[in-house]
Amino acid sequence: MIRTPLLTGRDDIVEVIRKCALPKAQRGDVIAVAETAVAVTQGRYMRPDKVKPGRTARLMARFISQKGSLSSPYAMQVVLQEHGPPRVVAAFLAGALARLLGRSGVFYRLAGPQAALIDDVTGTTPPFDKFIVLGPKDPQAVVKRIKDRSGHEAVIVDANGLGGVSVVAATENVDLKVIVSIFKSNPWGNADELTPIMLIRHQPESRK
Amino acid sequence: METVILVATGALLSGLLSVAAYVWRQGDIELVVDESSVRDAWARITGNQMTVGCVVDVRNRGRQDAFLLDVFCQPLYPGPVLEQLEILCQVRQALPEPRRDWYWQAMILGKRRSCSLEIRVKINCRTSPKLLLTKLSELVLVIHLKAVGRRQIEYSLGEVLLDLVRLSSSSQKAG
Repeated sequence: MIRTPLLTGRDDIVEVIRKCALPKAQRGDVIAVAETAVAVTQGRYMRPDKVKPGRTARLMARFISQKGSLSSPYAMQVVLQEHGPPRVVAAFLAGALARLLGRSGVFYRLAGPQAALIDDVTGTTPPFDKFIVLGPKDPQAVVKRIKDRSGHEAVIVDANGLGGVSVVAATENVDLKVIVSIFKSNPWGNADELTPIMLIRHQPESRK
Repeated sequence: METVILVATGALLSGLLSVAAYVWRQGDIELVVDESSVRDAWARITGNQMTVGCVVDVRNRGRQDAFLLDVFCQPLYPGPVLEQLEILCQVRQALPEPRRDWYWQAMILGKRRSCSLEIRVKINCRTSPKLLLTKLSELVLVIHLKAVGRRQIEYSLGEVLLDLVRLSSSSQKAG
């Protein structure tokens, strides 16, 4: 687990990795980065006060369980702006229909990546606990940059502490099954641990 | 044709009514500072500084979870004596292990639940605190709550009265 300073929109995640993680990295390590950290360094966060939710966002948010980030009209409005109302509304209607037929999660799959990646207020480490934090922009390009600059395989992970793990982007040689099993317990934590980077090292089996 | 239009209009209207009923029944958040719950008040005088504190509850009487974003605390204008004072109000969640830096960390306050706020007020006065108590016997604190609800960002206010004379005399007795 790599500790970093508090990251903001003025940081570059690749530069942070170079300074904080590379001195501790060994050959063959995979660099895992929390998706929220990448999004924060891309400046993808905003105060809910700056968002003006429309009627569509207000109404749709009413039908989302409060366990989900889109239950607030502000986060829903941000997703509407990111992916466009036609797509999100269509996904909402399809999700409602699927729900009636006993299938859940359809809305999040159809509405666009930000619907699943967005963190509403209280969902992120301080001071971003008071911001809506979107998912990272072009995550595949970010992992490619990390690999080009560091020489290590890289992966961006979204882990929620409830056992939910989503690999947002990864370079080609990363074993996704291993990543998912490692992050099921969310070793990063959701408080202010400031450890958004992890070096994953293959442990050779010990001889008996 | 008329029957089709009537049926379609009826279906549309009943759909709209169902949604309206669902939203109405769902309700929203309703945050209140429980002014009667003020407890554990204390005072400490060191040099020209008087520090007072207390614990007060915030309740969510609504039917939805509240995302309690910010909680601020500031004194109600105490009169011209303010010119001689520098007042710093801090508030944090009262927990077994509270934040040491007094940062208000946004939290979810569940429906029909309450949480306790710990308030600390540092009063720096140019004159001695004992002289101050003759001019300022009590201090009213205004607590501002800002929370995200189902409909919009909601703001609520509460007031807490701290009897500085009583607190300082009881702290002297305890000391």
